[in-house]
Amino acid sequence: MLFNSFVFLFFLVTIVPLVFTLKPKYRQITLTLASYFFYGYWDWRFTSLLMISTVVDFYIGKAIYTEISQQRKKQLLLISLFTNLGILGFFKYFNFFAESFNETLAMFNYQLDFLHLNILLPVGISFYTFQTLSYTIDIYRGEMKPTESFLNFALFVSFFPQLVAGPIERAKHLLPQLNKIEKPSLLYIKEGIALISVGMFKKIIIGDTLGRIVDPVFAEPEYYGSIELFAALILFSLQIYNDFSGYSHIARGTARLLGIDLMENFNQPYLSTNITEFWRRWHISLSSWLRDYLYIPLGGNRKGNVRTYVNLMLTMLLGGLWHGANWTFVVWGGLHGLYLAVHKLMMGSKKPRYDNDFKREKGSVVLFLIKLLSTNLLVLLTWLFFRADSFDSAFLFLNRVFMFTESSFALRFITITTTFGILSLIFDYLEYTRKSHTFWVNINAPVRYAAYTVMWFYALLYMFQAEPMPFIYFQF
Amino acid sequence: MKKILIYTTLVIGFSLLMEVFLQLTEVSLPNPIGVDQKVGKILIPDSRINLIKEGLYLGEVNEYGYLGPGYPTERTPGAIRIALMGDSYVEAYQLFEQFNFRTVLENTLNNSESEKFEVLNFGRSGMNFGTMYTYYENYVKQFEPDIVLFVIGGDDFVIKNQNLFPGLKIDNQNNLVFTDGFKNSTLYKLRQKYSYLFGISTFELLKKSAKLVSEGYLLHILFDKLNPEPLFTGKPKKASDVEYTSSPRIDSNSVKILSKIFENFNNDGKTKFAIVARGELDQNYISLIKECEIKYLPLYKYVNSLKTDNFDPNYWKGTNKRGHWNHTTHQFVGEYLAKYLKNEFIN
Repeated sequence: MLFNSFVFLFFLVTIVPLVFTLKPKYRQITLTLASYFFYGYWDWRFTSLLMISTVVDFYIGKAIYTEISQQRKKQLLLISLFTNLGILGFFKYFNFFAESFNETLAMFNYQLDFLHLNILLPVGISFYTFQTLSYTIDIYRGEMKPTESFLNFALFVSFFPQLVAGPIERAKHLLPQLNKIEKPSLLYIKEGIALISVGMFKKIIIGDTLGRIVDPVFAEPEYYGSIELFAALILFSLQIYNDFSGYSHIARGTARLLGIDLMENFNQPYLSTNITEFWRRWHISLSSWLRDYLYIPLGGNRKGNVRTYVNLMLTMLLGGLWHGANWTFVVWGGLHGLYLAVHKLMMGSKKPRYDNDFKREKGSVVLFLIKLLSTNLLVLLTWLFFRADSFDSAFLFLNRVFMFTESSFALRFITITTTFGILSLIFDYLEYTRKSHTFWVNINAPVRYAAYTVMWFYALLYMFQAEPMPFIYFQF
Repeated sequence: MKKILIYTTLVIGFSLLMEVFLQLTEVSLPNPIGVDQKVGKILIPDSRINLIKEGLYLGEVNEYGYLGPGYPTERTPGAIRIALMGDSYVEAYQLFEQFNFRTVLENTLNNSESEKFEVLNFGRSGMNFGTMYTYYENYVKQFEPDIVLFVIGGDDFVIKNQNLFPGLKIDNQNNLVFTDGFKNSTLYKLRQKYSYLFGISTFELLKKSAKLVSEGYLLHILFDKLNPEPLFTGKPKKASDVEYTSSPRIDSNSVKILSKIFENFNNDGKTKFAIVARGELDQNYISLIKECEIKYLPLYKYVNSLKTDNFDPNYWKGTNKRGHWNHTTHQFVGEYLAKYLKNEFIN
C-alpha cells in the first residue's frame, strides 16, 4: 500500500480509531494484523518472508540471551545473520552477482550462461532485514534483553508505518513502546497530523511531480542539452530528498497517531556544510545503523588513520550496495566513502559541528554558503550514479553536460528548478531554524490550519488525477 | 470570528502562492485550448505547454496559433509550404519540437533541395478526418499551403461530429456543408462565459479530476485494487493499456462525406493533397481514395518494418510505456516523408 494513495488514507482513518476503541490487550494483535494486511496488499506471498524473519530472530534472540557459552552465542548469531542476509541476498542480489560473474568470465573469453532467475524483489526487504538484525546483534552484545512476547516482536518487525522504508528502528527504542500501546497524547496527535500533512505535500507535490520530469530525461539523456541535463540532476536531488523525507514524515506522523515515537530520518541534509555533516543529516537511521553495526565492528577509527579510511570506504561501498543490486550504487557509495575519508583527513583531530546555526562558521554567512554549495555539488555528482541506469548512461549524461550541448528550454528548466528549490528550501529553513519537524504545532492555529488546508487540497487534487509514483526507496 | 477571517484570508493567500508555484514549475499549466466561433477549438497563441505523457514535451503555441516555428499567413516568396494535418501523432506531445517528424522533414528537405521548405504542424489530438477537414477549411487554408498531408489512423475516416468543432453533412442539394451546432452546446456556452477560469492552473487540475470522475474512474482511484472489476467502467487509463491496432469500420454516411471532400481536393487548383495512413485502413476506404485519384501513402507498413526483437517504434524507455511514435520513429517518419514528397510532388 502506497502512502500516497487514497487506500492508505482510508486504511489509516480506520485503523487508528479502531486500535484505541479496543482494550489495550487487543491492540498489539490488531496492529500486527493490520501491518500484515498493509504489507500483503502488494503481494501477500511475501508476508511469509516477514514471518520467517520474525520466527527465526525471536527464538534465536532468546537462545542467544540464555546461552552461556560465548562460542555458542556466536553460532546462533551466525544462524540469524545467515538466514536474514541469505533471504536478502537471494531476492535482491542473486541475479546481480550471477550476471557480474558471467560478465567477468566473458572478459576471459569463457562462456557460461549462469542461471538467471525471474525474481520479484519483496518491497522493503532491506529495511526490515536490517531492523531485525539489530535486535539479535544487540542481544548478542548484551545491550538488551530479548522480548518475552512473540506478538510484541512480530509487531516490531512488521509495524506498518516504517515497515517498507524505515526509519530503520532499533529494538531498544521501538520494542518497549510497542509492548504497551497507549492512547496518544493531544500533542502527539497534533504532531502526527503536522508530520503527515507536510509529508504528503512533500511527497506528492514536490517528489512525484519532479519524478515525472526527471524520469524521461535520465532515460534518454541524448535528447537533452547541457542546461536541461544539469537542471534534471538538481531536480533529481530535490526529488529523492522530498520523496524520502516526505515518506519519513508520513511514517513518523502515522506512528505518532498510534502513540509511538519513531526516530528522525532526515535533518535538512542539503543545509550541510561538509560531507560528514551531510551523513549525520541524511537517512540518519541507515547511516547510524551502518556506523554501529558495520563501521565500528570493523574497527572504526580505533586502529590508525589508514584503517579508518579503509573502514569508511568499506562501510560506504556496502552501504551503496545495500541500496540496489547495481554497480552504479557501489560507485555512489564509493564516492561518498572517498569524500568522507578526504574530509576526515582534512579535519585531523577536529570535530565538525552539527548545530543548526547559519553563523556557525567563524567567517560569515558567505563562508557558510560557499561550504554549503561545494558540499551540495559533491553530493550532486554522486546522485548522477545513483539515478543512472548504467555507467554508459551516466557517462553520456556527464559528457553532454560538459560538452555544453545546446538546450532548447534552458530558461524554462532553470525556472522550474529554481521554483522547486525555493519551495523545498522553505520547508528546510523552517525546520532548521526551529530545530524541529513538528514546529507547526506551535504556530498560531488559523495560520497552521490554513497551511494544512492548502497542502492537503493540492496534494489530494494532484494525487487524484495523476497515477501514483511509487516511493523511490521501495525498490531498495 | 477574527480567527475565521484570518484563516480564510490565509487559505486564499496560500492558494494564490500555490497557483504561482504550479505555473512556474509547470506542474499544471493553464489550458492552451480556446474556442473560436468559426474554427471551434483553437490553440491559444503564445501558450506554454508542458506535458508528460509517454515522454516529456515542452513547447509553446506560436503567435499564429499552431505548433512549431511560426510562419505567418503571408507566404515567403519562393518557398514551398507543407501543412501537416492529423491527430496526436502529428501534434507529437511526447518529445521536444526539434526531434519530431515535422522538424526532421523540414530539415531534410531544406538540406537536400535547392528550394526553401516551410513545414507547418496543424496536428491536434483526437481529431478525425472530418474535423481535420473543417479545421483545414476554416483555419489552415489561410496559410496557403502548397501541399497538405493528412496523417490519419484506422478509425479516422469514420466521420463523427466532435465536441466544440463544426460538423459536416451532405445537404438536400447534395453539397458538403459545415454545421455550427456546436455553438449551441452547453459546453461551448460555458467555455465562452467562464473563459478566464481556463487560465488558472488549479482549475485545470480540478477539470482533469472531474473528467476522470465522468469517465468512471472514481472508484478505481479511491479504492485501487479493492475496487471490484465490474465497477470499473472507464476507458483504459495508461497509454500502456492501449494497443494501437487498427479497427477498420466503414459506414455509408462517412463514405458520402469523404467522396465530397476528395472531390473538393481535386477541384482545388493550387494545393496538392495526400492521405498518409499511420494505421491500417479498411480496403473500401483505400479503394475510394484511389478512385478519387488522391495520393495515398501507407506509412504504417514502413513504420512496422522498423519492428525488431529489440526495437518497438511505439515504446518509450523513460516511462516504460507503449504509445505514440518514439524519437527514433519520428526521425524515420520525417526522413521517409521527405523522400516521398520529393518523389511524388517536388521533382
